[in-house]
Amino acid sequence: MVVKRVGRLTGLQRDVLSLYRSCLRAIRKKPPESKRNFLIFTRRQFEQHIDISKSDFTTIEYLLRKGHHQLETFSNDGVRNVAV
Amino acid sequence: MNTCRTSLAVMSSVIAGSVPRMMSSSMRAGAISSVRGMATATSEPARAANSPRMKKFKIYRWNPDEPTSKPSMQDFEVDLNECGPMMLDAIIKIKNEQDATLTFRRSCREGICGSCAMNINGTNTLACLCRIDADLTQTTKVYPLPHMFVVKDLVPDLTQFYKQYKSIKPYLQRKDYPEDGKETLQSIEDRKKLDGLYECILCACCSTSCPSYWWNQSEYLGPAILLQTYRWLVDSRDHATEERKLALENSMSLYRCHTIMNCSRTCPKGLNPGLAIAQIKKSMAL
Repeated sequence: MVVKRVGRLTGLQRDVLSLYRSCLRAIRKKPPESKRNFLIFTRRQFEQHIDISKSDFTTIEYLLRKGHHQLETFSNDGVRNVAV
Repeated sequence: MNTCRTSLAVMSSVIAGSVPRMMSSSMRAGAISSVRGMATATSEPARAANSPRMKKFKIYRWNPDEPTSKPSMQDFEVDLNECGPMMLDAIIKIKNEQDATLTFRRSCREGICGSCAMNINGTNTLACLCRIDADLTQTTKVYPLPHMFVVKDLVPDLTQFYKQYKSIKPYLQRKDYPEDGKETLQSIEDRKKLDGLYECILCACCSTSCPSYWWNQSEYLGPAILLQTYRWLVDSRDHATEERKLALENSMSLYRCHTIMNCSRTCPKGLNPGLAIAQIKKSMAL
C-alpha cells in the first residue's frame, strides 16, 4: 500500500512502518560488509507488495505476520549475509 | 462337517463381514465365500469387472505466493480401485497424478509421527489413519486444522503450538541422580500411571478441535500440552512437581478448559486429554 497522505496514518500503516523500522534496527547489528545486502533484501520484500489496496486487511495482516516471522529468524546472530 | 456348517450359518447370520481367523484351512474357502456372499454382494463383482469407482474430493487450496487471492476448494476425482484405503493414499495419488502443487505434511504413513493431521469431513484426524469413505455419492471435504494460520494448502502454522510445548519444560527435572550412575528407578505401578500419556504424538488434532483453544490460543495451553503437563506431573521420577503446578496457577493456562471434550473425541490415537486435564485440576485443588 502506498502511503499518500503522511498526516493521518491508519493503524495498519503504522504497523507496517513499525515493522520496517524494526528491520532497519536489526540491520544495524549485522556485519558491515553485508549491511547493504540486508537493506536491499528488506526493501525488495516490502516493495513486492506495494500495490495492495489499503483496505485488503487479510492480506496485509498475513504479510505483517510473515514479516515478523522472517525478522525473528533473520535477527539471529548466526545469519551474517543474505543473497540478493 | 455338519456341526461346522451349522455353526457357520449361525455366525454368518449374526455377524456380517467379520470372520474369525481361527477356522481350519479346509473350511476357510467355502466359509469365507459364503459369508462374503451374504455380507457384501457388490464388492466381489466390482473387483472382478474392474469398473472404476470414482470418489470425489474437495480439498482446501491457498497459495501464499499470491497473497491477495482467497482460499478456495478444488475438486478432484480418484479411482478407488487404483488407490490405497487411507485418505493419505488418495492425497498422495492426487499430488502424483493430477496436481503436483498440492502441499501437505506427511512422513511415516502409519499414524506415529503426527505430520498429516488435518480436518477430514469435519473431524481432526491423521490422514494416514483415516479410511476413505467408500460411499461414492458423498464428496469428502479436506481442510487444514481449524483456526490455525495456514502456510500453504493443508499445512498449518504450528510454531505457537511448539512454543507452548517448550514452555512447560517437557523434560525430567531432578535435584540429584542415583549414586551408582545407572537408571532412575520407577516401580511398575508408577510406570502404569504414564500409560495413555506418553503415547501422545503431538499431532495437534485435539488442541485444534477445542473451541476454547480457538478463542484463546495465545494464553490457553490446549489439551495436547496439558496432557503432556500431566505426564510430567504424574511421573514419579520428576522432582519439579511443585514448580510445574505453580506455572499453571493463573486464570488462563489451565482454567480456560470448560470440559467441552472435543479433544478426547477427536484424538486419532485414542488418548483422553480431557481426563488428564480433569486430573490436573483435581491435583491443583488438593
